[in-house]
Amino acid sequence: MHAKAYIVERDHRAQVFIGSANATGAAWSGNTEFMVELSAKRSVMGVEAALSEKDGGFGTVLRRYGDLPTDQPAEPTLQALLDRALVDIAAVPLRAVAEDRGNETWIERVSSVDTYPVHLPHGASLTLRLLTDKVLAAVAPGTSADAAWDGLDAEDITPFLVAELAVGSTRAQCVVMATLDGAPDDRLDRLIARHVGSPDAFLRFVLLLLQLGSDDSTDLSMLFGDGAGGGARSFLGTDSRGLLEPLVTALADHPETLEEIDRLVARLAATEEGRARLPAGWMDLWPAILAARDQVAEDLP
Amino acid sequence: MTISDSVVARLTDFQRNSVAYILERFYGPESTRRFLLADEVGMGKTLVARGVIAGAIDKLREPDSGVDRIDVLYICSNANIARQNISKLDVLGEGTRPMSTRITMMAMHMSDLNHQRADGQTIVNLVAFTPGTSFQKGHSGGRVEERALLSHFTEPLFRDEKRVKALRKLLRGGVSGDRWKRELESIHRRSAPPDATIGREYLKELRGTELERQLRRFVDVAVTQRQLSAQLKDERRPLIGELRHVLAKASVAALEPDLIILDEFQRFRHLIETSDEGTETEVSELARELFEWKDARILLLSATPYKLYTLPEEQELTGDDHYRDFLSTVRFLADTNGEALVDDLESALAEFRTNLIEGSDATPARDQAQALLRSVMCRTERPTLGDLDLLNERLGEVDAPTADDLASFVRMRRLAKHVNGAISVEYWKSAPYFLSFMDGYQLSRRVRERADDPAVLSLVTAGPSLSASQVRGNEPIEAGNARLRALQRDVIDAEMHRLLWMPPSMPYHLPAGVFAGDAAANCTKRLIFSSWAAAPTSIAALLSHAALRSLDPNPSERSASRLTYDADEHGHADRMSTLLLTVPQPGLATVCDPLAAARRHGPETATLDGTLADIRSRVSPDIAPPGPSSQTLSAETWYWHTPLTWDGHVAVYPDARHAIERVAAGTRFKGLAAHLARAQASVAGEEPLGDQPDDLDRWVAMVGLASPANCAWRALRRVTAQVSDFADDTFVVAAVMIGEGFRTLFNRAEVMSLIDSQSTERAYWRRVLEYCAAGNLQGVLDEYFHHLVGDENVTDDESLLALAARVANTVAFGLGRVEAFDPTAPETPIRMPTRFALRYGTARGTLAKDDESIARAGDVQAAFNSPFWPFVLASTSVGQESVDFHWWCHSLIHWNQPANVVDLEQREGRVHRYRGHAIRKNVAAKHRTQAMESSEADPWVAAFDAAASQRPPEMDDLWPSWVYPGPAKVECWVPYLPLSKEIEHRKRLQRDRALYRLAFGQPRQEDLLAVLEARGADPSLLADLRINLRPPARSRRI
Repeated sequence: MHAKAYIVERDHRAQVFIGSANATGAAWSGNTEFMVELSAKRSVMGVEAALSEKDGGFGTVLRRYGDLPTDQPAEPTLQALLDRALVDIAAVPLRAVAEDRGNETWIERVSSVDTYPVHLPHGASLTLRLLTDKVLAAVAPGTSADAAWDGLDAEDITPFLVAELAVGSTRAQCVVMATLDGAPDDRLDRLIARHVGSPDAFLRFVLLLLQLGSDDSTDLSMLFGDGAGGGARSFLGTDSRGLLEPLVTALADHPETLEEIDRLVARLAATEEGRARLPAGWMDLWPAILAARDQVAEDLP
Repeated sequence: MTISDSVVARLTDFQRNSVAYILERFYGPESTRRFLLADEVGMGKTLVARGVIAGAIDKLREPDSGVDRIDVLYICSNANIARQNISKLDVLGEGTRPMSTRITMMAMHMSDLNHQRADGQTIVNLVAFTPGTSFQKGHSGGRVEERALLSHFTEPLFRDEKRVKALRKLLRGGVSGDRWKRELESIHRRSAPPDATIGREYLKELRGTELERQLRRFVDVAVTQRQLSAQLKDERRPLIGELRHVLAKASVAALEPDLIILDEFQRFRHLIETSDEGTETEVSELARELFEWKDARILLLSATPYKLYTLPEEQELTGDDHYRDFLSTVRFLADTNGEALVDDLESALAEFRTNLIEGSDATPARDQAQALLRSVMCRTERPTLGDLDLLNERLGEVDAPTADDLASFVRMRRLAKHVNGAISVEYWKSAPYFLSFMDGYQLSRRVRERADDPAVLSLVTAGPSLSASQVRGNEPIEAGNARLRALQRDVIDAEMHRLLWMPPSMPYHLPAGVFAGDAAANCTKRLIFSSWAAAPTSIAALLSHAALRSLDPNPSERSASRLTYDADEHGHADRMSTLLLTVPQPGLATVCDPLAAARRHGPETATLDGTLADIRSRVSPDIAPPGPSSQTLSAETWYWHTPLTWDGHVAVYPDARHAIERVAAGTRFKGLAAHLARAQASVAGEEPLGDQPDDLDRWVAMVGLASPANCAWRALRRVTAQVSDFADDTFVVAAVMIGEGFRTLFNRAEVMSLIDSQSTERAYWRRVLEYCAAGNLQGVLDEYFHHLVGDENVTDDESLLALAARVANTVAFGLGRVEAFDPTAPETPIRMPTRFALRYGTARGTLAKDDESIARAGDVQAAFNSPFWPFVLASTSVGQESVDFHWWCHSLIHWNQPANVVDLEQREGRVHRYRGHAIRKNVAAKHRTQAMESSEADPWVAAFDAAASQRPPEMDDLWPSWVYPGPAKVECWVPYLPLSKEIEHRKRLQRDRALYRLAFGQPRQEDLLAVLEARGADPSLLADLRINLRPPARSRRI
């Protein structure tokens, strides 16, 4: 088994899922997978603890890029040469700046702080592109990157770029993360709204938010799968998919969770297309929930 | 003719099949000694057992049987059920032997068994046991009379006086010395001494055993002690237990049972459990003494010998293992052949499962499992509703909860947190006004305990609750819950509460007034099941309140009762018209019978006006011409004078007084005597009359047609037409009692408001008559009495009057009330009258054990099973099993859906029963014409005869009384909140419903269903693969 690990943090608790499931829809909705769930304090099993070097954390086996030992085989393949060169390319820090061009279009400019290595494997070309866009920008060896992508939707603005090194049809790719400035404040909300493409996806996403905000365990199938929980029951314990129940519980116990949902709802409700992605009956329920939230807020001293 | 011929003649086809099959299994080739009859509830298992007893007697009386005394044992742990059933099992009609609760006491009854028959036939004894502890010997010391009997039988072991005394000390147990002495003496005072054979057998069993040595050691030590030492006292109980065990064995041996009927077998499950090492528990060993007696055949009866379907979480929760239970039952049934049969069955079922999962042909494996099981059991199930197109499922999404509903949850949650209590979303979804109806919940106690805490107080006042003034003033009360709001719309907005009774399924004329229209004509009562105890209480309280408020929004303007027997200040009776409603006039009732009018009219249903015109024309000629009148007198007198003097005899009026006072339960009506005297005087021609009014014939016809007393009189005559043992006066008295019930009904403030809302132009009594006519009161009572008489034994005057008294109480039903907590006055609960909607069971959702509550539950059930209020009954799961609610209800509301599909079908079984409301509607829709053309006194007899005569060839005699498709169906409504998890749950229930019978006898049932579903198997194709345990039709006769 090629095991994967998932760490979900919430408040001071963390859940770790280890097992066969990939982060794919099929793994979390249809496949037969084997997973072990661990649950502990965040300080014991959270992301930070898992990556630390103490108490057998993964930190003891992790190495920074560049620190890799150079035990090169005598006759490396072209692929190996590209892969190794890509490590140095990925280590070059990038800066991205987004700018509003009016009419709901944006430009994203990306530049590298340092120059790229002069020596690349023979005949290799280096390109960069936004993770959200197909247009490639070539970068010459030994120069700094300086590229711009214009006419973007706000949702396309991203700190993630794909660096690719290619010789003919042999290629090596990696995603690098730039620092991003100038992006609209609601970029993530817009992004989420775009990804919530159907009433069912909306249900799943809201459920995930509610689970993250609640004291119950998280069902990762909400994140990756179709949320139907595979067969009769997902092994993560989601019996049936009511949205009302966790919503009402959140209203009473974690009303702050509602803010996040409301931002998404407001965005979707603003357009005809967005409203079509809200499940039937939602707009009868949601205003009542907000009104109840305001009503009980007045009770408090 | 043999005994069984006469017994079997009274059974239905499927019952006859069962009897023949069981007898074949018992006495035919490759016979079995144990057989389980697992018919579904209500299919007449006791009647089948009766047939089996009769067949067995015939068999055992054959010359070569070698049986010289036939002993039939009937064992049932519930004394009430036993009493009800034992007379049905007494096929020879010779009575049963004394019911004994303990097998150990058999020695006291043996003399009753050994009697001779005058006709020289083999003696038959029917002995009933109602064991509480007789099978659970444990280490209990038994009852004092058992120990006295033990002492009597054991004493011969000891020669010297001292040791006998020591033995008695051992057996005395905890009773006083005096009591013990009396008990010992009473054995010798009996006319028949304890059976000596059992005594000898007992000693034989005891001698030479370790037990005997133990007993002797005990006695040897005990003679040396004045008081028993602590050690001896400890040894005493187990020793007595062992001795009782030996006595039980000896008693069984003396009884020589030939046929044992074990009723409610599921209660005896522990009898068949064997422990892991293959050694039996003491309890099952004792049972075996009984079960393994030479040629005894054992017939076990149980509708639920094991759970048909269990969910994994139920298994976790209760530890029930249906698969193990199922196999151990089969192992027990197959007796010596048990292991072999279980092995074969397990492999057949495993093969069946594999076939199902693979989608390969499962028929051979199914047939094999079926054949194996049928060798030891059979089961007849009612066809399910879905299969018959008798079910109409309505998936009703209700409106979203309002902001107030939601805020109330938040507030309750805050309160709960503050007092360390809990309130769940599921609760909130099911019931409003938590603070008012929280009785019985843990949170309630915590809130009350801390009622003085200012923080609690402020949280309590923030939460919504009912106020006493709202209730008293019939002020509007918001539903506070989305489901309840939907129910109110379904019922109150549809104006169901304007009907005081269900419209008849077979009206004699078209309904009028509030009864007109399709909505009224199709209406049926609502039965609601919830998982939360607070739900039935709040539904009953708030729906009743809404009905009351709608009828009577200004209770302050409430007028006094109008139908009274009040006399004026001179003692003069001036409410004579009241008597028109409460006293029948048999002659007038006969002329004005609306059924006769409908029969004259022909196949089309006449209008009310048409019917009235017809009746009027028959009344007019007989109205006495006006004699000398005085213009100074009121013309009104004529309206009561003419009907009350119609029959021209006076005898009824003295009886009427007793009847009225019997119903009024002790109330004495001051003016009643004066009214009856005036009526009598009127008959004698002493009443001065004014001018005869022009419309007199119309109102005389109306009284004859629609007065409750006249309708009741006719209905009683019809349904008892085949019994002749009644005095004519009895019908009159019974009708007066029922009329009196209606008087109470029409004197209720809200009913007066209802009648006033139609019109206030005419006198109240006339508008009451118009309401009764518009609602086809005659048709309703005929239909109601048809089932009442079918249900109860009405054979003589006394039982007829008892029936009338019950009906009168039901019509006037006023018992309902629930109490709501008032946070502003914690000591004084708010009393909310509940009449339109009622709760079944207690506020805690249980069935109370005290007599009064049991009687109340019976009253509530009787009222709901009448056409009158309540129209809505809400229950927790206590109403889910073995209670009938079908007479006037074919609409089920799953306020909360059950977890298990078996429970779902149980609920449906409450309203899908013998001649239920939907069945009657369908029979009436199809066969009204035949009922009208027939001369049968009771039109329902004619209608069902006509329906039976058209039974399709593929149907058995479940048709038409159980199964009669048509426009009316069992309606199921799941009122779910938008976006709630009920939707998913419902899908699972539907899948389970389609497939669960396939999982019969399988381990991990739900997994199998999930696999079948994932495979996309077609439920309708799979349904044919169900294991069918119905006995083969018409087995070979023995």
